[in-house]
Amino acid sequence: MIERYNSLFGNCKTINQVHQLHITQENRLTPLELYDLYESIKKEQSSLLFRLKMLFVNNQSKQIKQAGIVAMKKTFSLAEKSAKAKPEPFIRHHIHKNIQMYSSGTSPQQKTLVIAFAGKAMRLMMPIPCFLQHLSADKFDVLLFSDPNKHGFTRGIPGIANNIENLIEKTSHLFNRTSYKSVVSYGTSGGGLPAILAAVQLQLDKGISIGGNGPSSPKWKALETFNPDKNLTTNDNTTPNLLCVYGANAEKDKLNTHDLEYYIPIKALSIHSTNGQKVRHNPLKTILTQSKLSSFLHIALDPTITGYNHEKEAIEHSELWV
Amino acid sequence: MKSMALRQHLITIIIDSGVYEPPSSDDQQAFINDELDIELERLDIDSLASMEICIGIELEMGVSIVPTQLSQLRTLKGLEQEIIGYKS
Repeated sequence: MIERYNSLFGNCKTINQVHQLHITQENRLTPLELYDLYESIKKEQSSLLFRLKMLFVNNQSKQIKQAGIVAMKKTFSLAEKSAKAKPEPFIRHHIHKNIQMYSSGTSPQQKTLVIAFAGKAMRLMMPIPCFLQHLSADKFDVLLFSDPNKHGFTRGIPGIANNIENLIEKTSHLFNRTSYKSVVSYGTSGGGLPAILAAVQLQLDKGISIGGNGPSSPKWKALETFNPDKNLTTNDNTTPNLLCVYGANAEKDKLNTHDLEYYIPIKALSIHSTNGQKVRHNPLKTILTQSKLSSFLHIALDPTITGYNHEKEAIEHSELWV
Repeated sequence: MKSMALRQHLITIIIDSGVYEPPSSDDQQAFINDELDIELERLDIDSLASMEICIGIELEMGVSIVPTQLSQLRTLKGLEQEIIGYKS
């Protein structure tokens, strides 16, 4: 993996190409791979040979090398917010170009499977290794879907399904439900509503949307096959455990949450900043910056907890100040 | 590249970059027709979207603008002018 990265990096002729390489890597690496890569870059950077080389390369080459180091340091520093001594031992299993399973490979009996729907940026509002590093590989497996159409999975995933209903139906064939302690869905931004739909249609133990669309948003309304009254009703009329999280200053996301609760009962959680900063479309950034992402995720993904706060189950709308 | 085609490309790049507040269809068309300028701040461009915009401009137009340069521009028209400046 390090050789592959170095080879791809060697082909970069501009800073934007370095950024493109890093975005692609951040959308797929495991924490182990990120830590290995970071260590290798750090080691190379401190070597005498590297420093000598830098004396003889032109300014453009220096800037490109620097851009790679800065990007890697930034991603690593986000993962480090987990304050764990070691990287979580997730291993990536390729299922499809746009579907990856991250698992430590240990028995799933005591684990929760997280079916994760990425947003338009093909990630979960942060680099994938950062998200995984904030989970415990002993407690979670993650089945990650990304949408190359960048259309909130409304057109499914090429080669798997051509609409959201078929995609959710196909999803159920990708894992053995009975082998897991629980199965939850989780989606950010464009992946938020698909996560809610998956939780309802597959009757999962919990569905979590972070800054997701509402069913009345133009993209969803335009779909001929999508009927929120039908798609957001469980087969046996039970009330699913759904949590919608949005940034307190993201007006559009707040409206989307209200739109969703018009169709189905949900618990809503708004994220506020204690230091007066605005919390917009990416509330996870605020939570991550405050080093509270691990505890947030472990509570949000826990199906035994309705909504977010155990003690306030009766409250439909609650606030989290971080 | 003709100005109108360039503005059309820019709008596509902005939409594809995943900015949180993309311009409305009417505003997109008005910008393409050179009847409206759009404040970049209004688009709520985060660091990832900023990189995606710069990558898109480089791939589509062969012009290397980096995120630090983009952050110094105020409007979409300013970005268009920057690209024209590089090309001329």
